[in-house]
Amino acid sequence: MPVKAYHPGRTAGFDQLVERLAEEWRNAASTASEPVILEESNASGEVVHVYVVWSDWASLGREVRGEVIMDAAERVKTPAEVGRITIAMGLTPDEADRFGISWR
Amino acid sequence: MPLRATIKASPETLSDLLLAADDRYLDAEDLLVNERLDGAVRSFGYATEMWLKAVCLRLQGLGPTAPVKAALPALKTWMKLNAPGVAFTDYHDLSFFAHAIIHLRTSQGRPLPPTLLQEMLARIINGLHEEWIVDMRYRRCGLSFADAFAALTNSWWAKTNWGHLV
Repeated sequence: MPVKAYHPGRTAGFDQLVERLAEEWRNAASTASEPVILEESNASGEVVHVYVVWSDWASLGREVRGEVIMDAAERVKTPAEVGRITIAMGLTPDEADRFGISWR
Repeated sequence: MPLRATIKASPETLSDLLLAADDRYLDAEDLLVNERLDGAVRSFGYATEMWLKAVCLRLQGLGPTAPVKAALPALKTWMKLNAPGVAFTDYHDLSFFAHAIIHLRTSQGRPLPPTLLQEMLARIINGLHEEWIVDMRYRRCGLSFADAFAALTNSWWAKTNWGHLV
């Protein structure tokens, strides 16, 4: 009998979003229009805030989007780097424009 | 602008959270005076949840304009990496946020003073965490004056001490 991981409370497609975002994050030469990943560093040059602009998660709440970002970060960064991230903000293109984030 | 649109138009900030915590606490006191005991406990719990979250975010170096809902998943991951034994139920889990404060302070080389730690264990982790749950909002709980008074004293502790926890 096949055994699959079950995560109550997570929407269908959560893991697919995480994997797609991680793949994009790993591929610095990507020419895809979205997701757009913006990394903001502190004075020491360490990434502390991550903003991701993506149309595909319009139906998800802000906390779930943040969880997608953090799960993807765990796949592409070291634990020390992940532990320094304090903001993981997921936005749609409309929201990013409305909040005045320069992402295009 | 209608409330729904207003709320959706801008992310809640740490500053919003602290203002709302004070408001919910005052709501709870009014409800207690008017013997609306379930409502009083519900609001004392919400206020306390917000103070604990605010402390966590301040300990992570975030300022008043930080977006709360973008900071909480990062905190959750930090806890998974640094305190994997601490259970996370949901983003209303008072015990989780209290433990996060303890671990954040320790990781910064300035653990909570023993008295404050003991008080938080008694007031929050073994106190309000057991007396309040966000799911109560959909139920008539039939709480007593003793229940409401316990929630008042524990929430008052959070109101008067959150600044010392940072």
